Amino acid sequence: MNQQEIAQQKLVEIFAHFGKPSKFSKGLFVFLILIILFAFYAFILQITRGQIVTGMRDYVIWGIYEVNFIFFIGISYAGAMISGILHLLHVEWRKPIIRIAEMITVISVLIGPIYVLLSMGRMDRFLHIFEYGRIQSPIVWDVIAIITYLACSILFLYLALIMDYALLSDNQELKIPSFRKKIYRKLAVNYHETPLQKKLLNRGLSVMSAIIIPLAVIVHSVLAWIFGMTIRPGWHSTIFAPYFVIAAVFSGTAVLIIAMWVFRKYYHLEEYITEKHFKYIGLILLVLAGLYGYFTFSEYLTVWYGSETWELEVIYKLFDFSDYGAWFYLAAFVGVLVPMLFTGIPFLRNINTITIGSVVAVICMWIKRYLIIVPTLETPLLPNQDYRPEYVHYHATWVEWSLTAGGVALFLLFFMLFIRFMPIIPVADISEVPEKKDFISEKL
Amino acid sequence: MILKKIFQIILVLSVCSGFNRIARADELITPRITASYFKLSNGTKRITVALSAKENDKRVNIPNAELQIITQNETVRTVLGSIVTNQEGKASFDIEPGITLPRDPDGNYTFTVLFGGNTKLDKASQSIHVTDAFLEISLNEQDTIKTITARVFKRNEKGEKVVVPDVPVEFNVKRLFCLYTIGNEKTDSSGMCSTEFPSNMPGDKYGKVTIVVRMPDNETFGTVEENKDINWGKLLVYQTKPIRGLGDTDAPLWMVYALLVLLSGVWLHVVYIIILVIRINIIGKKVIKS
Repeated sequence: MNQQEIAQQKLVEIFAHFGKPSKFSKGLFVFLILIILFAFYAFILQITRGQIVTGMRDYVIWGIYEVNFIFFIGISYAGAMISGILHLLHVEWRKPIIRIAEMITVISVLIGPIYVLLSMGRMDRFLHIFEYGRIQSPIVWDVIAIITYLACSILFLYLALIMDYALLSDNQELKIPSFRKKIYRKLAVNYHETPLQKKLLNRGLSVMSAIIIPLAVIVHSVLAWIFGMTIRPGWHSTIFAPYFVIAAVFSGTAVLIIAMWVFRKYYHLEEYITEKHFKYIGLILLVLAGLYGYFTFSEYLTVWYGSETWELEVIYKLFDFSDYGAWFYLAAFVGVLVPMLFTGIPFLRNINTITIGSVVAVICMWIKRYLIIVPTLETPLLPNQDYRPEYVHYHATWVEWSLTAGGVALFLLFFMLFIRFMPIIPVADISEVPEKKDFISEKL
Repeated sequence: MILKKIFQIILVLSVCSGFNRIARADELITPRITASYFKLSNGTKRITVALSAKENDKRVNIPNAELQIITQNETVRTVLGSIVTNQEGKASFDIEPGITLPRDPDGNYTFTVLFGGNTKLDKASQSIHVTDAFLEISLNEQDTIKTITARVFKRNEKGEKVVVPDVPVEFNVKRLFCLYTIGNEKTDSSGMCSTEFPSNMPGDKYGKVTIVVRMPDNETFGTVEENKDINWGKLLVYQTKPIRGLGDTDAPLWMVYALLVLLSGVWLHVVYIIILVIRINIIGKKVIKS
């Protein structure tokens, strides 16, 4: 057995270990299922009683459901951008983390759109988008773009898995049920690593890497245009699309770092996901935090300077501590500065601090999405006559929070299921990584 | 002392006011009839009536009230018919052309609207005196200038037509929901006045417009109207092709093409990848066989 085979065998053993859930995994599984069941109860309640069980009313028609939708689509950028770009640039160190990124993409694109359906008063009318949808509508663009993005993300993940499935289906040491091996064999499409097969597979991966990047940009731009093309304060902005894209890559990268930390810690992948990976991805996070901060400053400065009455109404709500001020400053400053400090200052930079910075970034990015949607909807151009205060001020109800928790639980549950059937670190690929001296890592 | 006086005055006034109210509750309310005369272009004479009354210091319209329309002179009194007011307290009565109506020695008509009263409302009547007037319109086009000329006549004691000077005349063009006023003039000594027709006035698909000339609300003649159709308007060009824009059913073509190009660009690559996977499978099968 040569060095490469030993490395592969070790990964196969790790993968086999994932198949045997520990007590903690089982407990977590049950816990997540309970959360999902409770969310399902909330969902049934919403269906039977209508949107009155949510905090959404005549003014604020999009609440935290829409926030979650943007958030999940945003974190899908982890796979699309990080994985796609690093693959295209043939960056070798990407290999241990690339699968995690691709999984995040597929899972988040599967979960995100559920929240759009939850926002709808009549879910049965969703098909009207296909029957009566007008091409001029950004909502139709969004539906088309997300379906295409999901298809491409699944294909991208699958292409990268073909080599691993071939290796796992042929591995005699891997003790898994025979039906699973059969499924792996089918999914491996008779891949035997012949030069032609390898060439075709690499070509496919390169094509998908090249496609998934602009596609991801389009998806999030379209999402931004749903807001940007509406003449409302805080939304009607020309930089909204790139702003959304940067925010999405920022939050996606932060989620990737958190996932890396969890897998490294829990599955003892310290040999594969090293400090170097955290520092490299941390560096990307630093750049993205800077860009995101720049876009935020540019957006609010322009609007504030313009002094348009309606726009100022929203701006002052965001600046006012008695209103949304605390949340705004948290999202705009803490959410940018903390990740920058932990990734930018050398003596502060380590695996744990980078992860803490990422957690702060993820929380702040969720808050930021909330601040994009709710204050604007609470500021109508013409207030209704004799409106009730609860029609103006949005407060998410327990139903919405339950369904939000359900989405996060579903995200984690999908991850648990994915890693049982898919190697979290590319088995076939990892052994090819040459252990050469890394000057950038040393500098960092 | 002064306070005592003021108190006495207030007491007396209150008592009087109370008596007054009791008395008013038993009294019938006198309604108000407003009648106006309208002569249409086909010669029909229309009497329009509005019936209202004051109740609790508010003027209210009286619906479902029957009113008699009477025409009379010194010798003859003819009941022309009766009308019932609608929910707004209004009603109109048409006198077809050709019906001979009694006139007074000056050639004027007198119409009386009579309300018979009911349990709450007292009897009431309103008379209007009108002189029959005639409005003639002529339409002239010289070079590119189109002119509408109106001439107003009445009959003298001998029954001859004589011109009426210094009468306001309103020139209108009939639109879908109302009249569009294009000029307000007064007749000169020859009983004539004219106005220019605007060159940019839209007509129907043949350019036809209906010109309506009116002598509005004249004290002597009532309202007299005359109209004529002519193809002076701008031709109305119907949109035969559907507009493709943001607000239309069909999207702008560039948007459709852009979407098609983008979608086919991505999905063709997806198809290409699937073909690659199929090829990998075929090659694999060959390897197994060999």
